[in-house]
Amino acid sequence: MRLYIPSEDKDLIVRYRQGDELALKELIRRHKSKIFTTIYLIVRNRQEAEDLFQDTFIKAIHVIRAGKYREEGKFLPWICRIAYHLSIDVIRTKKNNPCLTADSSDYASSKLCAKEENKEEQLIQDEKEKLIHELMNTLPAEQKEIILLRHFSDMTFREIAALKKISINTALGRMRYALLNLKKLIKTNNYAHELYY
Amino acid sequence: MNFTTEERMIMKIYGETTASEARELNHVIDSDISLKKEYVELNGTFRSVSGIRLNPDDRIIKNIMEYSLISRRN
Repeated sequence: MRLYIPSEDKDLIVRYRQGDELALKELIRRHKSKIFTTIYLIVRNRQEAEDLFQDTFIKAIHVIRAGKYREEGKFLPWICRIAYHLSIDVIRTKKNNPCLTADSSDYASSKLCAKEENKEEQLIQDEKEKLIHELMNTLPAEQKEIILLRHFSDMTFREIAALKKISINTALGRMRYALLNLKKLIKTNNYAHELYY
Repeated sequence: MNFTTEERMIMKIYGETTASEARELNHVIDSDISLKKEYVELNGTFRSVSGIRLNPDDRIIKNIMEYSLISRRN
């Protein structure tokens, strides 16, 4: 088995374009949590999030292979922007077609579909999902979005301001209130230890 | 661009300040108890949120790798 000497993302992208499939695997390994959490926090359904995670990488694969990827920023914010737009499209489609809307609090029902091959790992994952739901659902949508874009998608406040067409000051202010609100919630519900396992 | 001290604290927490800006901000924070308290709180929450990570099922990653391989052959 070939082992990877730590490379920068941009080197992995070059290697992938040249036909090295393991370079893609390494990119996924590095960034899967942040990309998946970003998607999950938007669609709030594990199955949909997994489908969108897949779609995101398929789109990224096409862009990279077509030589259209430009290393203007970092790989993670770039791919998270793809994930963000695909997820928002799904939400918009649901709003326009209410009959397609799965119960958005359906993380519990999505559990029914989860594999049971590793129950302990699944339980931990379930607890984390529950916790994320509880934490994020208390935040106003605009604060939740800032957490998602800055914290999980690694976009700078300048990039977020451009994406959302708001000032950097507004983005920073929303993040401040989001963190202060989360602090209250973590303290009130004594979540701190659960966030670190 | 003008930023308030609170806004600069957020930028520092997320690593968007230069070393000299961070040093300057530290002086300001250290000289004001309420700012210092807020900075500690914000930083603590930042670390807590950093602990939140979800992962897709391994089969999803396998699907992507298979798609990549097959589509390259085609």
